[in-house]
Amino acid sequence: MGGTFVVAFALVGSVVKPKRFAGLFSAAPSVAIANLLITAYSVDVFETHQDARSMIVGAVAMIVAAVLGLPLLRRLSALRTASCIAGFWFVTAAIGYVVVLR
Amino acid sequence: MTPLSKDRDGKSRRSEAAPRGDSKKVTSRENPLVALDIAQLRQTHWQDLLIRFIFGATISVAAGIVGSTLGAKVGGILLAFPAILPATLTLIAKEDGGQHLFHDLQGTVAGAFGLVGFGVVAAMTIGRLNVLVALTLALLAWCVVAGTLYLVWATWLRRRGVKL
Repeated sequence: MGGTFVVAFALVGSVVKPKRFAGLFSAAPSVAIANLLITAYSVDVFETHQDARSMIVGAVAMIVAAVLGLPLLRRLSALRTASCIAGFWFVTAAIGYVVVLR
Repeated sequence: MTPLSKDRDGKSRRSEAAPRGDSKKVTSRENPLVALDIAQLRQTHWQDLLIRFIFGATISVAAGIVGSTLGAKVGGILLAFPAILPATLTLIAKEDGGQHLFHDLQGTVAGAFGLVGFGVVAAMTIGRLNVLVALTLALLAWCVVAGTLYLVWATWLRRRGVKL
């Protein structure tokens, strides 16, 4: 289900222009929609609510990671930049978890 | 982002800026804030979509497993993991080149702000409204936040003669 939503948003992103606008869809809530739906119908609403609250921390981490990744694109390859962005995301999300959620 | 020069006509000295005297052209039809190009669908390779599907499905399953073993607090964070960004960046680099890559990631920053909006609305409405209604409102919040941020920023860039 997560993969299907990702492909749907990717298709939308591929038919819109300019690239700056298409980039919005790289941060579309595709995985979130799929997992929140599955959790709501297979587990319970309380856990879904908890998931959504925690997701805010992950989303803030994504802002930080993407902003930090921008200057790296000028120096590193796309793959290395993407790896660094994932690293930045993990570090920021871990800090967010300890500070806000724990 | 490199700082803009303070020319009286407001043109930037960055490489992506429009050539001098071309700002009127660039700010009109040739430089739209948003455009649709359905023909691009024909050029979409199924392999690229498959890669994105695998990335999306993997992180979706991982978030589910982490959520059920370590709890919803940790699993929920993973819902905002930049799952398809690596696939998107490497595919754009292969097909379009570096400048497009930079522009795409700039757009992703606006999309990430929208993701915060999605999370806030989802957290406020799930449990109070039907889940489908709550997620629809949350998706709407993503569109509004990300779209507004993009439009404000792209309009600002276009006024300075920057090609979007």
